[in-house]
Amino acid sequence: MSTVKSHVEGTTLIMERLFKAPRQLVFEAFSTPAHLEKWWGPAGWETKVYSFDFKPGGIWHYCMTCVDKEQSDFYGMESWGKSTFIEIDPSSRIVYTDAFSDADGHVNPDLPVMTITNEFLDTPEGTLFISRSEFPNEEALHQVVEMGAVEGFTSQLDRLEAIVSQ
Amino acid sequence: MEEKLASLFQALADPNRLRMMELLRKQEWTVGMMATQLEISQPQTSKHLRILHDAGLVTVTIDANRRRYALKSQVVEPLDAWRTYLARETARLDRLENFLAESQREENGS
Repeated sequence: MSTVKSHVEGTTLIMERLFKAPRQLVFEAFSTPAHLEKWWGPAGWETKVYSFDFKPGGIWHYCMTCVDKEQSDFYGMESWGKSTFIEIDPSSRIVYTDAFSDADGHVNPDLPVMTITNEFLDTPEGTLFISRSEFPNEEALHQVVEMGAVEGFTSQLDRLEAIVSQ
Repeated sequence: MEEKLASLFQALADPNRLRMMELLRKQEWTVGMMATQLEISQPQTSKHLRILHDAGLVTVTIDANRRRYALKSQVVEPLDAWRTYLARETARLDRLENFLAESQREENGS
């Protein structure tokens, strides 16, 4: 079983994972809309890609829908994302911004825009995937963590911060 | 203030330290007990526990010549939020892994 290594550097969350697959295939999983629809999004969520222009400055607009009834808080919820590609180095690197948007592609100004840098490296064991999610500031990192968290979780990190500051 | 938050994320974003937090949730631990449980060296264990302590996540009681570490009860909920977030991101990569495995099977025509 593969394990994910993750750590935080400043306001950047870094995750590393080794895939037993050729680098080209891993890269294609991120650069082909039909492939993305098969795996993108958290467990229990389906993704539909509405636009995908894979070049610097190009837009990727997609919608994730929760289809898992077990996730009662989220079941039926739609989450639209809009990404802009910044830098593409075939088979080895993709840099893009990741924003929360609506169905018309308007970016939600209240939620943070992250800059994602995905790298694909050949190793003797397979393809090493390194993903860096850079948040604009610590407040934003905090906000995104909260959104992905359990029901009823509001400003817990503020509380946590208050506790540890004592 | 910001620095404090940064040290907190730093403290939690390490697999060994997350496992320690999980163990500390149930009971108090000495360095020796923790090192045995996690099968890592005592100096490593001490280092990780010190980081958790510096971040304000655990308390330490010095009892005779032993240090006993315990989790601050107020940190359990925020800790769960962070773990949920990391678990979700990990689940994404699990899906990618399954997709890659399936694609390769199809390519091999089996």
